[in-house]
Amino acid sequence: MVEVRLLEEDGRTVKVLLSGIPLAVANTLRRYTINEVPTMAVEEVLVIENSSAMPNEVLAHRISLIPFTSDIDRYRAPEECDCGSRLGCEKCVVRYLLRAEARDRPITVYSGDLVPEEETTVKPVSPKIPIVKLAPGQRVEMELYVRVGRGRKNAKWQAAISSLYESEQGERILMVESIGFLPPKRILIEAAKALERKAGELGEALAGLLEAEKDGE
Amino acid sequence: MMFPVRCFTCGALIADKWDEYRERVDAGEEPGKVLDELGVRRYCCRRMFLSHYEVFDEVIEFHSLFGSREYSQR
Repeated sequence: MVEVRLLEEDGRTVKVLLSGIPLAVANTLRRYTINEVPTMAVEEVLVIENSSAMPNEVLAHRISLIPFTSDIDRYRAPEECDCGSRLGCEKCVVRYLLRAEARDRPITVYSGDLVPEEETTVKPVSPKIPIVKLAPGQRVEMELYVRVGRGRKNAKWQAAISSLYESEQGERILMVESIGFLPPKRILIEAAKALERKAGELGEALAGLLEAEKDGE
Repeated sequence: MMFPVRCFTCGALIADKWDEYRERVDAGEEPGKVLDELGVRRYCCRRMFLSHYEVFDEVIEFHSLFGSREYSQR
């Protein structure tokens, strides 16, 4: 009988005790908390001006690594969205603007300086992430497209840091530490959902195969 | 370059703690203790802080002194 017991919980980490689950399945669950949970990060950057000392691609890379609090009930991944638009629609993209200029003294641009185009709950996990420093006269202006994605496609969407280990009593423990996109409990639930969906797909594929074989006879 | 946003090894967000770390260490506090208090527990993340040197500050200093402010694109 599968049993899950909550051992420890705070805003960032959960520890659960798993019993009645094969090691391989428990490990799949751990991998899914990292790879298959949908989260939101900057996926596309439109550079309007960048006269900073940091090249466009380095700057874009730094921005893409900023975790955004993810409203995955409202937004979906562009490849799963039915809008079919290259730019995305209100269900698959959140637009942000970054505009900064240093005048008399050097400044640091922080994640808190990102401005959403419309009021949204999807915002940087922390306003204190330094993005770039500007010397007097330097300017950056860019448009950012925040999209839903999964860790298996790019590590910027990695939802959690998880480990599976055995306690001294031989109990199997799964520790999930959230990066900030989603609460840690939610990550576990989403990972289980993803696992269920994959198992369902496998079942259907197998059933289809057997069906095809029957028809062939 | 500038301090990395995420830990190279585990992917945890670390950049949001950088300013406070720098300030406190510059004020004379023990780096290890500061990291403990900031909740940076794993050694992969800790080395990111301990081994970082902010080269970008020198680039900014150079541009502040010799940057062609009046020749900017605008």
